[in-house]
Amino acid sequence: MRIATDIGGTFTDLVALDEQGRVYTVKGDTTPPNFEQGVIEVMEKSGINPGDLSAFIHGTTTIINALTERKGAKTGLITTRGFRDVLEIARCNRPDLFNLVFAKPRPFIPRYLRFEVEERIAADGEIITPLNKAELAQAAEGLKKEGVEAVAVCFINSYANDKHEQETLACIKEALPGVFVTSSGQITREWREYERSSTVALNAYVGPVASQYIYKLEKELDRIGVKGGKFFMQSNGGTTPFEGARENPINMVESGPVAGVFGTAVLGKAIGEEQLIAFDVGGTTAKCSLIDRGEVKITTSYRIERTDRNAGYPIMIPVVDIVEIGNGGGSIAWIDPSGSLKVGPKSAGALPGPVAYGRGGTEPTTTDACLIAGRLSPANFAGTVDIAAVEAALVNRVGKPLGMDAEEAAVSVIRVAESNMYNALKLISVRRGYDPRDFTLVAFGGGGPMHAASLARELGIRRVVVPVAAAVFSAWGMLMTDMRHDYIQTRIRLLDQASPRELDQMWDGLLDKARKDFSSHGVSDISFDYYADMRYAGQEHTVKVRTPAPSWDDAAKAKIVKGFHETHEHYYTYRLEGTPVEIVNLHLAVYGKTDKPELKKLPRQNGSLEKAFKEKRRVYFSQEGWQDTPIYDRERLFPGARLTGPVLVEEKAAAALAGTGQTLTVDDYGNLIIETEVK
Amino acid sequence: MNATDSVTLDIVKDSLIAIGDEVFYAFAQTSMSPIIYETLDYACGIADVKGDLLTQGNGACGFIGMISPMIGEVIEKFGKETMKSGDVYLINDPYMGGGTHLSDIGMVMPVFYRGEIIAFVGNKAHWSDVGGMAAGSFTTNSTEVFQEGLRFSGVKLVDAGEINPSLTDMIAANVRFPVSANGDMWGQIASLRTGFNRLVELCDKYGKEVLLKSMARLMDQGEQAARTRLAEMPKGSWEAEQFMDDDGHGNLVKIKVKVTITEKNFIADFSGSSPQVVSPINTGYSSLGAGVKVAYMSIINPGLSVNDGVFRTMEVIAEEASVLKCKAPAPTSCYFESMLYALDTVWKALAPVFPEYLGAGHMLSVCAVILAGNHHKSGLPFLIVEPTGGGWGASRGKDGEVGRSLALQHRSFLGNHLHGAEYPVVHRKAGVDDRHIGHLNPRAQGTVARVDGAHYLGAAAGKIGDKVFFRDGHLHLDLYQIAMPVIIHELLRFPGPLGHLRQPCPGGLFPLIHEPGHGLEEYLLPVFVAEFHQPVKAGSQGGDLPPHIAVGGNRKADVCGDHIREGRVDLPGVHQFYPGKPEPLLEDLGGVGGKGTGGHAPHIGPVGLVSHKGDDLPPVEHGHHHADIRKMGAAPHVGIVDEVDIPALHGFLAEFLDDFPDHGGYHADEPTGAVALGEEIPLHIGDPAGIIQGFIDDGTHRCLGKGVKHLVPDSYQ
Repeated sequence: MRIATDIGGTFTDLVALDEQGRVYTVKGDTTPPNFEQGVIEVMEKSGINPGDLSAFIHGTTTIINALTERKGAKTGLITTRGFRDVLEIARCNRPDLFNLVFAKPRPFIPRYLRFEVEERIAADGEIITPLNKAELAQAAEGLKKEGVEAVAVCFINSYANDKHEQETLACIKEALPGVFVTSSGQITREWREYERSSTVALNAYVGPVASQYIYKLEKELDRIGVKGGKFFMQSNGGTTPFEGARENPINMVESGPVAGVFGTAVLGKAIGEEQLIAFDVGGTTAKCSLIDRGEVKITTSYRIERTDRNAGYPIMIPVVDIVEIGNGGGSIAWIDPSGSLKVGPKSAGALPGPVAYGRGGTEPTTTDACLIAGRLSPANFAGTVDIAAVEAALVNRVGKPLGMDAEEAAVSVIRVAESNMYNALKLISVRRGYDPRDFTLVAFGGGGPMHAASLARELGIRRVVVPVAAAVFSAWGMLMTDMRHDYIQTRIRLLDQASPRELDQMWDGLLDKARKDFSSHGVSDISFDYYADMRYAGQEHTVKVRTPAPSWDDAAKAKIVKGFHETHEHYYTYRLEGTPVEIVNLHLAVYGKTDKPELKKLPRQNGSLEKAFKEKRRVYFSQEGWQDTPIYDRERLFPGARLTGPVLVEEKAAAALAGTGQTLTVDDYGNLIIETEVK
Repeated sequence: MNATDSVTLDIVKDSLIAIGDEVFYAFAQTSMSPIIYETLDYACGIADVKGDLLTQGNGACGFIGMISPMIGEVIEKFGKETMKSGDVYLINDPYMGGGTHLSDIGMVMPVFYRGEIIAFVGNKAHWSDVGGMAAGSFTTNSTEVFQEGLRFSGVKLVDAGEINPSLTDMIAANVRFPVSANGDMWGQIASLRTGFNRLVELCDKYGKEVLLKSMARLMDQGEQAARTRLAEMPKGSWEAEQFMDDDGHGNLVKIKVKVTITEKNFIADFSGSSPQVVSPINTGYSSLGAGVKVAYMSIINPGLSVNDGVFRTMEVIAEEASVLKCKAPAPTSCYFESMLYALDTVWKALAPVFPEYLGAGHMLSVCAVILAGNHHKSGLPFLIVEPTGGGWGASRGKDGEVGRSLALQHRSFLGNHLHGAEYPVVHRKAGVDDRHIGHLNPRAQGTVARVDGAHYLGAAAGKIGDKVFFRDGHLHLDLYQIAMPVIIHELLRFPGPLGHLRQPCPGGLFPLIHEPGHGLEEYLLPVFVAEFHQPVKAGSQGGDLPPHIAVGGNRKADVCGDHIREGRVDLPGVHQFYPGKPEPLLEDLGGVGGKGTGGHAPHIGPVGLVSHKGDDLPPVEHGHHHADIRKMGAAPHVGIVDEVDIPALHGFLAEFLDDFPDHGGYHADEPTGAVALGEEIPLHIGDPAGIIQGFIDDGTHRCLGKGVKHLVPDSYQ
């Protein structure tokens, strides 16, 4: 039995998978500040014997919460002399262009806690100035005196050689026992000093919080007798053992959402689809991510708190490439000063939540609009829904300014929300050189299945898959993950000029490190993917190209260059044959295989559609308008069941729509498959 | 139109804005010039069929509204009837619509739908080099535009999808970095084509009529938003003038504006500004307009998505052949400097009226760095063209900021890794300047860095750039511009021959920054620096008046709002400086000025005291005791330092006093040894012995010596 628990803002989800491939789900409350309590509660509620577990996988918002709520540790920084202000200066970004009183994001480590030490390593790794131990001791003393709880170490050019960082790490650990210490080279070997500094600063900032959380969770799990491996979900779509999470907790910053993307890839494999778009609509945001040839895309240009008006803070770790927009079920509809209807990014959250929750919310949300539009039934909500209050909110905030009644307002809110989602879906597909018509849309989260079929039709996507337990699909994705670690090393070389020996040495270095790391966690069954981040000499941005395993002979090099030209043209519409090609980073993705049950087909049954039929009601469809629509209960549908749109299938915490002319079937795994009838 | 239709129009409108962003980012990703991909020195926009801007990506806001005049110019010159689907036009003429300097290459593409033009897409990007007399193509000493590179007054680059090879050959033969120019050219074309395709898709999806209606709605909403806001604004006229430091030939350049706000219009009239000059700081009319647009947007609604509808309410007047509306062949390669001054003068005029939108001024220069030479390892030529970040003043309820792009830009700092790895330049330091704590230096020390002994940034490197604080012809200290933290760059080494080393802009940054020290305000505060004198007893050593220095934080500076409201404060006392809360700085420091109340404001950090040049700074561990305050009052120099720094302060004073390579030491014009008063005349709190003399800078002494009028305390005159 594998179990995944995923802590969200409101709910803590549990999904379990037994050896027969059966899926169990439990939902409980999230219990801040003692989040581990919520985990134990869902474990107990599930009735699963902790002793039967083969793996416990956990996703948590603890890290991102500590960052966004600024509840991390008092953190100090040690850096190269002359560079203490790197965090302060950042990239000088001023994205709020016309705001002349713009406030720049403040560094997580204030200046008085940023210490400089004499040392210098050149961009090629050569030591120019040795580490000044006396200054280091002084800095350690200063940090001690300040009573810091965590220390980040980031030296200039340590991506090329982190010897001084390692020495500093050892020294600080000794001088400040009990203090969380971390260095940039431990987290990333990619270049760019601001991004590196920011990454290690944030890792240190959340370090003590994470350590404490992991400690408490582990203790609780031990107490109830959980057996088997314990893993955390990381932002790269893989897991890491608890021990690894303690060292680099920043890797868990996006643990929840990425699991859904990874789950999409796994599900795709089972149902024979390689080109997939994961589409996850939760309470506050809609997220989408593209899977090309079965591969989840990874990027290291992640930032927290970045908006189009705010530079945010970079975290240079491998994160699944997700486009996220502030359009979820709880997103608030409002009229902007120019009189246009907007939805989100402000969310009513869980409290007060949408008006329909009856917890004091007064601002209409997408969920409220979906209720009035018939897409949700009052029965979907806990407690009695005050329809009049929902209508009043829609009329007052949206209808009146635009001259609409409640239904028209609801419909408009849905249209604007879906337009935003449409743009986000285009952003990860068309704008990155992919034709959505080649893809299958996998829709999950509470809201995904409700919007997917009409969006797919607009995008020319032929097929929509609504997985089993769509609302907790992210947690299901966690069950399917392997251990994963990404090793990225910057070394800028013209491919032509790089000697094979040098490249092999670099790969060997990464491979050695990977083997050592994984064997220290007792994992020997590992596999590798090789990538290179490449560009035309003189360019800045790189594209990630899959490469053959080392060593690279001329034929391999030629293949890599060919792959690069193709990828570049794919993304950017042109290629510059004849321009020298440069490698910027080598990227080794390492997977530690874990035993997972195969997805099992469910037996075909001759079920009865009548038994699954619940009612008929008016439902608004984006393209065809209001329709008298039969409503079915997903629990009572069966493999092989086939329905024709307009139809709505309700399940726990989600509802799937198929429009007129579209067909909805249940496949052998229990997934809903909607054929969108796109030509 | 029924209500639901209006939602459709909004949805299309949002899609238009999304396309604007897409076109923008598409270009950054493919560019080969760091100034584009790193500093985003470019803009992309979509315009309607008349050429009016609909939406513009989030790049250099200095390019705002340059896209549409550029498109207008192309329409005017070629006529829509001659245009074919797939055409792309090239334009960079500084004197024409959308003109800036030759380095900014503009491209325009008509968007056809079923044989008819429905819109235009345009972009404008700074190429690292477009030929001319110096690498990087912008110079401090050009006297005619012909020295500044290739000039295209609207030419067809792509004809119905076919590139004109003669033109690309000509470009390749006349620029220093033809590969990157070629890459940028294709990047620009690709971004235009993306815009073209997306607009066609939008037409396919919603129909042409809906798209056109939606464009009109976008524009009307922009105009309406501006009109609504204008109606609420105070009405009247406000004037301001100031002088650019220098035109490179020793002349001050006057920038003058009268801003009038009426029910319906916003008019910026620059009549009375200097005639155009024989140095490259002239601005064309388009750039002037763009500068004013930034100020206008900031008070209309900085959050508004920008389009020409907003600017229908705005008017800009300038005299022909003036420095702000120059004629050929006036050189313009550093046009941004006068453009910034124009923006800043509007800002200054309006700051008292809109304190919630306009704080104290900012760095007021692009501070561009150009370095060219041959790479020491590869032997290949390299070029760095890079605007740098700087400080911004405080505003109502908010501290100043360090490390920010100027008001015309989005982003501006190249990382040190980038330099180290790609260029033969190594930064020794990239930090906020704290060497000159307490030193209000007019010479922009803050940006000084050295390359093998030569000055790299800052005043010393260029003729333009002296006398930063000496505006108005009266050599006033302009408080409007005070409290500017700066970034300091130092380069460790620069191997190989130095191709070019220039600082084409006023090096005028503001060297004042210090953190308040531990346990206090947790954030780095820009600081004000007060210098004041103590009367010297006759016969005491020295005989001249030593400056005293105090440093404090201008935290939560409503302060700034106030002194801005006064526009300009000549010879301000410290109390004027700190009219509101917190307590006036010098009172914080123990009432040296005779108003002593004791007690530190909490933002004043631990203090070190100095007596003699070369002394250590004995720390005042807890600067809240009366005894310490007395000591501070008496000390000739008061430095505020991190407590954590105190054990390592040995080198501190040396820097404090000596590290001004420019003019040979801080006390160059003073008798030495005049700094020991503190020990001789212990002051007491409330003791009238110390009188606040207002602010002076160290230039005072020198100017006095030369008989030049300068900012001088009353008692001293």
